[in-house]
Amino acid sequence: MSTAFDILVALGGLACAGIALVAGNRIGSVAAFVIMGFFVALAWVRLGAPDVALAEAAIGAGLTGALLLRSANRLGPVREAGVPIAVHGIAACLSLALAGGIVWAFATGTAEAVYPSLVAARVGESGVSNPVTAVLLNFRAWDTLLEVAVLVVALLLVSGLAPVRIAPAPPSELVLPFLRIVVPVAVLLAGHLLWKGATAPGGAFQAAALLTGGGLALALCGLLGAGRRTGHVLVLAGLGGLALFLAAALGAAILTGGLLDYPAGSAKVWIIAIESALTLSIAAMLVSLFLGPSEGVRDDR
Amino acid sequence: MIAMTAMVGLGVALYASGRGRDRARGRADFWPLWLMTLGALNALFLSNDLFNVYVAFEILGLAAVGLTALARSLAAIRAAFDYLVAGLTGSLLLLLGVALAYAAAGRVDLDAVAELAQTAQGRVALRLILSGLAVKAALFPLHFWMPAAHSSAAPAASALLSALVVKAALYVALRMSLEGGVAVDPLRAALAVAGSGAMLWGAWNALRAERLKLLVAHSTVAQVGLIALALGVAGTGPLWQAAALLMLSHALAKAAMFLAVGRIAEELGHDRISGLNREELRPGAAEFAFAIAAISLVGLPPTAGFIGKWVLLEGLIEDGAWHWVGLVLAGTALSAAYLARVVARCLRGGPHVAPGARRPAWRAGDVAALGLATAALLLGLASALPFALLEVGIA
Repeated sequence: MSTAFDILVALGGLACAGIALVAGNRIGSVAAFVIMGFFVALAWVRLGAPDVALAEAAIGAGLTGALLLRSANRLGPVREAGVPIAVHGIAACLSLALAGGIVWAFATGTAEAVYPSLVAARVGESGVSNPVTAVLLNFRAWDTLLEVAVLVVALLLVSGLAPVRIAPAPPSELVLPFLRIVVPVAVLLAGHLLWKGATAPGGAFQAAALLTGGGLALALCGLLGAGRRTGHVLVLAGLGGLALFLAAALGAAILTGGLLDYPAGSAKVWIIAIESALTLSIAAMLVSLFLGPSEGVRDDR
Repeated sequence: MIAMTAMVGLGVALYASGRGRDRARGRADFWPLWLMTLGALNALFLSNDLFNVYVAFEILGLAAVGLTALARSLAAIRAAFDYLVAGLTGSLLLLLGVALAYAAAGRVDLDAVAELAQTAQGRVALRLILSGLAVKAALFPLHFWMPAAHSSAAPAASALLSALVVKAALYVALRMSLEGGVAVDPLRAALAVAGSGAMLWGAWNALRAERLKLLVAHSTVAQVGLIALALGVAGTGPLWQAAALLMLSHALAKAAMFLAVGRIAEELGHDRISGLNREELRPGAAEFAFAIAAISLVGLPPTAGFIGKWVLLEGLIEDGAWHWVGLVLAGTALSAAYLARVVARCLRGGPHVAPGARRPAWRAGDVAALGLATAALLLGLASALPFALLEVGIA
């Protein structure tokens, strides 16, 4: 039974990827891409990595799909570029060779991973019992800090270069009752994911993606306020997460002498504080990435 | 290695101060991206972990794309998009390599590289990482995105991109080569061959370039090739110091050159090489800075470029590797040729200048360019200092 399910998931993912490649219009490609994201998320669940599955479904499929749809809408229909068939052939051969090499290497790889046993041995010291959160926010928090910096750079790019902000459509009568249910549920679920992240799959990135969904629903109906103030608040909130993470890193360095080396015993408090700030700021960043800079911000330049 | 970081950090700081004195024409968007670039570079140089390196590259790549696109012309946006695609391809290869390295060795710190080179899977991983780095460093034949990106960005951005951002990938390659021991020799050979290809191809294109910025950008392809060649032939021997010194000197000289080109283009109103010798304009400080930077790039004494090449050639001659010696000399001759195209047109005076010719006014940009060029010169005179630091780095 489970084998059949696995095969179905794999085939479904591949089929969607194929459809995304050959689909004649952009919206169709993006739709296939989003569905492929869900198949991949299912695959992660089957592989025993629910954290990755949550992130893939929320960010990989959901948010990326939304961003792609937005761009597809602005770009308009596909014009035949007339790429010669030889280029297609070469690209296919190269990617098949690469994929084959990777499959071979992973299939024959024998080395015992060093990290899982280390993490398992010391997860108690980290203040949380979910090993993924322990790695992300304690053992390898430096990487997470840099990842947040990557998002900030993306935000800077969008606010510097992005074209017009999308104009929200006025909400229709059916949308408002829908929003009244969806947005609070999104906030509630985000809080739940954030809090559960300490002990079970979940965490800042996943919670932020949910919050972003709620925020986008509000913004698309024109309820978030398209003015200059909202834009400023969103950007400030986005930058605030990185600032707070850095401040925490430096504070921990002052207290214990090691960067991001939280004081013994209170690690959980630090982690929860950082994660909460990150959730808000990542959500703010993702919303502003989608919306683009507000008119007021652009006029400043 | 820490010393190497410190040296490059010094270059960065020098550059930063140079940029600080530069005219305040940069838009508000420039500064945050610039800070992010510097931060990512510092994180990268201090890192001892392949995954850290990958994340730092992500920051660096995105910020660099932003810097390219800041010029906002159609060409710049198109070049930035090409750069983005190339950079992401490089990142993807790098990430695949890191994941595979984790599967093969079970850990991802740089010390694992020697272990990786022992197994077949590890070698595949190293190859993937190296090809990712080659895309990022614009190593021939993966340099296709680079001349357009570097020549269409604003001068300060090109200086940053050309002098520092491509060095980051070379630096990681150096680290991996040092950690890898003898087992990665095939990879080093590939690096050396690609490097020689880059040197000749970049120089050939620079000889044919019609615009000044394009010439300087193609010259970066050639110089990256020279450094990659040095890395490839150095192995774990003492020759890697020559590669490191060449990196430093290229960083200083190329930053000076791009800033100087920016100033020249500002004075002339264009940057076509054929229109450089205008009668009504006397040569200015920017041209002088360009000439000094050119001397360092060609490798004439007493610049740092000379010391780097000298050490490299001396080591190669001792090893009897005459074909590499020939290639390095050919590359040097070619770079002298294409830079002479510019310098010769700047050396005008006497009867070629109209009596009432005006002198270009001094600007902060001139000071920055001249300062960096002089730094490249002084680094050559005081080359004992970097070598002493590099010695400490080994110990």
